Amino acid sequence: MVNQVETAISPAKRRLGLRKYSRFGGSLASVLTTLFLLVLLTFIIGRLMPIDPVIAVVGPDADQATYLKVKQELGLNLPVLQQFWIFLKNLLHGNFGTTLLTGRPVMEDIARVLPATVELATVTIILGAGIGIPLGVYAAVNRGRFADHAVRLIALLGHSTPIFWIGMVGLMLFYAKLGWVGGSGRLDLFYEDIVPNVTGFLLIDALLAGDMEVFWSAVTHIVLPASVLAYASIAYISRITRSFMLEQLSQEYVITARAKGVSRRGVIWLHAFKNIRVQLVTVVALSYGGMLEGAVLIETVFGWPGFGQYLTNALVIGDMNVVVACTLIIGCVFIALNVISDLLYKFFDPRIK
Amino acid sequence: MPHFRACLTGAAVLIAAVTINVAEARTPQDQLVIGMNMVNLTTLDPHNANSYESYHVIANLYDTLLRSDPNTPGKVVPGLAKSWTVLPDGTLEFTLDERATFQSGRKITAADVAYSFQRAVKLGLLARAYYANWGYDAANVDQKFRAKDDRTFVMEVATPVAPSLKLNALTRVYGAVLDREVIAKHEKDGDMGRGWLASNAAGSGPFTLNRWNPNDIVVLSRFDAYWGGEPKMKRVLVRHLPESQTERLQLEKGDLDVGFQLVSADIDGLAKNPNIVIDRLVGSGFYYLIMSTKDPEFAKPEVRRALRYCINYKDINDVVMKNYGTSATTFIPADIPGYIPDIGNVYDPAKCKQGLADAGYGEGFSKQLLSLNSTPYADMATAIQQNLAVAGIKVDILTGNGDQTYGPMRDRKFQLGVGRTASSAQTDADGWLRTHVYNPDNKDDANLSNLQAWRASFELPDVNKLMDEAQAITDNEAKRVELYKQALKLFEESAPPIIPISQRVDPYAKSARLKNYVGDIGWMTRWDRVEKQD
Repeated sequence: MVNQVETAISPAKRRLGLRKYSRFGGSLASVLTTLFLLVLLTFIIGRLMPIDPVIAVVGPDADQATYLKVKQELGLNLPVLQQFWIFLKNLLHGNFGTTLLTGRPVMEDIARVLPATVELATVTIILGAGIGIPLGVYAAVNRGRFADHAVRLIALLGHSTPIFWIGMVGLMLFYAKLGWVGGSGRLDLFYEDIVPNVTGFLLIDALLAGDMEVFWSAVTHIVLPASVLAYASIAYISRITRSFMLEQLSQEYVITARAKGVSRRGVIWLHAFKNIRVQLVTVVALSYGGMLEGAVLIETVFGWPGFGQYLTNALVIGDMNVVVACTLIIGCVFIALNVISDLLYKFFDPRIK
Repeated sequence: MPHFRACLTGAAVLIAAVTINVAEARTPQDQLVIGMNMVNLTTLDPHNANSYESYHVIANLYDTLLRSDPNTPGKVVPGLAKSWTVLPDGTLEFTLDERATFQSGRKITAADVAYSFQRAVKLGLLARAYYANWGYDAANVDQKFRAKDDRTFVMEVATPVAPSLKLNALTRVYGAVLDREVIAKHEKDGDMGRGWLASNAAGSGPFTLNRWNPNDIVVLSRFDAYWGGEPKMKRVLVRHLPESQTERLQLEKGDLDVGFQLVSADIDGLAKNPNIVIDRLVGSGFYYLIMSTKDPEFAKPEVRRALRYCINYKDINDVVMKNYGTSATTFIPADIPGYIPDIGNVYDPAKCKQGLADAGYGEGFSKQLLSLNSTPYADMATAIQQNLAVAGIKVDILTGNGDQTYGPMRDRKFQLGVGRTASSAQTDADGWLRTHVYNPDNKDDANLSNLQAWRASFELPDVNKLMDEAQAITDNEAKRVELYKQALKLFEESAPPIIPISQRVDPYAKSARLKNYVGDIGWMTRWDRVEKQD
């Protein structure tokens, strides 16, 4: 009898398990297909662009023999599909190849520039969400009043002012005139190479090494570019938060809660805000993802050795090994952020299973 | 909302705390801090270097056999070789300084010098073309470059070439001497260390390479046991600063000691600052306008001659090229033996119009002009466009990056172009003329794309002959110079399709605290004697 029950349940269980696996397999296949198409398209578009990286490598005055030798060494004389096949084979072996310009392994370069960008983006998003969300809530609660107009004006300015201009003015004011913050780069130059590179995140590495001087130098250097980027981010997040909140505050459950005698603060934060958390997670995650692509203009103005500058320089000369590797990484970052957002949805909204 | 206000106050306090007043910046006494745009710093291999930026770094990692006296451009002084002799057949014999050692601690021998120069040729990269001018190729260098004994290096003659040309050239980056034992350890598939040396160093210079992160930073440390005396600076730090205005702010603030590649407005701004000194390296190339004689209109000498009268050289040099170039009328600069005054560029709009009318183009014509999309090229192109419009020539400017601009010129598929020759300083008429007027084979498949005259499809056999003859004179400098003069004159009389606009100037800003920072026009500026005042 026991056996019969077991055999009766097992197929159902197995089907459930199989469905789970096949769902996972399906997702994995779709992710891999997306990534493959991303690589293929980026590579082909890159190769079809009328850019010849060889001149960037040898310089405009090189003689033809040198030009041809370098072209051959870089494999650029082969048909595009053959180049792609070689690239793909290397990729499957975990090898992104070398940059055409300097001959260094692409992964090594990325391991260096990505932490700089992640560090900047993380500080930015903490500032952006930390200030943008309360501002948005504040504006929504005070709809139509002075505070609301002020927040909307800040948001409008943040959206419409060119970011490199704000960066440059910020440098002139806070660095050159007032001397409150450090200049370009991640550190004062003479602090370079003082703390060992463990994580690639200077703030963390300096703390790990217990060197507060280097830590403060890193803080004073990151605060301005992060604030400038955060300003744009605050503008975006506060505007969205405001509109999400307005929608919730007009719902009947809010009126009911108020009628029941729930305090104003309780209604705002425990009822209305609780309901927009899931949407905000998406907004903040996408905003963070966008920053991880690198902020080329800010990186240029602040001499920040990040991912954005690295990718842009490669694009300009047609260094496709770098461009494809960076595109893949950006793709993976967005996929990872999606997964994290999904997990957070489940955390914030128990109805989602 | 008291809590909200409390949050805001908290945030303000936090921001105030992190933006503590950074002490008035001043670079440390024993560290030299340099800012430059590193986009063109693509290799540290002396035999493959092609940019102003890479030359500067390499000059401090390696020693060359001879050096150029930065205070007297063109004067050759001892480097690794303490003396040299020219034998009657033109063979050069160099005696090495016995104190000289590599950073690895090993004594430098004549075999190292021979290896280095052989590598320059055999690698087949940029240095090869340099030595090929003197008849050296992969097949003959093993015999021609040899160690007579440990201390004596011999450079035999392949084709007759004036010894002064070679001696001058050996002061440049391609004359660097490399540590063959260190390279051997990093050699892969017989690449003579090419892969490794691109981002590492094996030299004997005053500084060792700690790290180079492309488009980020170069960190050099003092080589304490440098044979030429311990450098004053403990470290040299070079940072990538792509934005000129940020660089200017850092210089003014005292966070940088030296700044390269500043734009004209920032140079002017810094020149007013008493704590900053502006230096100008004059003479490492020309800004030029080139016409392709494959084009039916530019094939006619009378059109080219007329067009040369159309350009307002003075205005372009005074306004557009300010801080980037200095006026030049022909391809041998005024301070080089062989210069001819009152030859070359003349601005005369009446003659320009008349000349075009006489050639049958009174109504003008339309052409496309290629230009880099950066300063000062794009501005120079616009000025030329305006000048030519007055004469009825309609010019469409097509801007692009290096490949899009120089690519068609190298392929001889263009009509008009502006550009800049980028080789390091040439202190001899030969170098100047070779780049701009020499073209020994005008066929398309000759592919002499490093020669401007070939790019313009313009060949003057008599000029080539004079050039070859001059280069081969080994014992009479006056006669050699005379032949270059004749070649230049002939070139100028032939309505050349390559017109010099300005001689290149590389300005840089340095802190007034610096002592002994002397820029070298061959871009081989040394940082080992640099000191700082309090």
